[in-house]
Amino acid sequence: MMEIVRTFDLPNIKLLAIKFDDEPLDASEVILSQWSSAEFLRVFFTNNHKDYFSAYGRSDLTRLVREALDLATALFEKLYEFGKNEDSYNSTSLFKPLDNREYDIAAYDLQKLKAKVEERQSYFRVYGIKYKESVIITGGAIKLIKEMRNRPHTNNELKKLELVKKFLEGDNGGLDLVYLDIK
Amino acid sequence: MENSNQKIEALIANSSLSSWMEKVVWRKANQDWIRKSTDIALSIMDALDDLGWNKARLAKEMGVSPQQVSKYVRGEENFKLETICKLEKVLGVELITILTSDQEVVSTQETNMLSEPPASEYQVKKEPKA
Repeated sequence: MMEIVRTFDLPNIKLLAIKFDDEPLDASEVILSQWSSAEFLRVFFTNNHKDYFSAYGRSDLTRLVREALDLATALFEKLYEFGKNEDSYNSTSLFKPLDNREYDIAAYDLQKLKAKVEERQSYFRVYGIKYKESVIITGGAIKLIKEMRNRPHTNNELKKLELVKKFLEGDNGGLDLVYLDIK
Repeated sequence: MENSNQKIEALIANSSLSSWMEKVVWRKANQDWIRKSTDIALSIMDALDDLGWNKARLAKEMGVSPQQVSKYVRGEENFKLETICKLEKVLGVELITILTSDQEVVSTQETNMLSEPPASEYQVKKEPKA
């Protein structure tokens, strides 16, 4: 089972998160905790450096972790601005539909991705479900390859998205899966 | 869709407050020293790799709890100089360097990830006195 938590005080409900009953932290806290941790990022990039090299070219581990921490900070600031509800962003302008472009192979242009390294293309993805003008965060992942299903950590995020969507929708349908990155 | 809307509205109405926003604000307010703490954390982890130690071994050598070492390597520890000096002694590496007026930091070529310790990325160059 699961519940919804708020990231800001009522009546502000633009940014919400899922908390699974068997987890101590909600989804927004999990990604903040992981992506703010030098240890977590160092271990992640040590284990996934080949994927990183393929997409972005070779890099030094320390530099990579520093870059990741900067990117994560920028992403959380953007989320904060969205959640604070000061009209800087709305859910449609900030979050993109999670469609084939994100998790299928066809239209994901790796060369374009490589070319955007200098523009601080981010591999951080925040996943959620759009409900009216709110977004309910289900999790997040460091996405280094084209297909989400081809790596356990991104595939797990897909499964969570589908699980939460089913839980919220029941048999009704109609909710949209979305993701956020930063450029 | 009406049923799911009602379900979501009910979940929101009964929702509790996450600590997310508080933590984001805290990180932003403390970002300058957190950045330095991160650099120290990375140097500690490099040193552990070089020594072949795990965090438990460092905790034992430092006489602190494993939880305390986890805070060190997370990169959000506001280190005391006393702790830094003890870590340097135990690990046998320099974690912070205070340059004198005749020294400067020279950035060298990017190291090869996972094959050379990141600590070698920087070296202190001593300038001859005029």
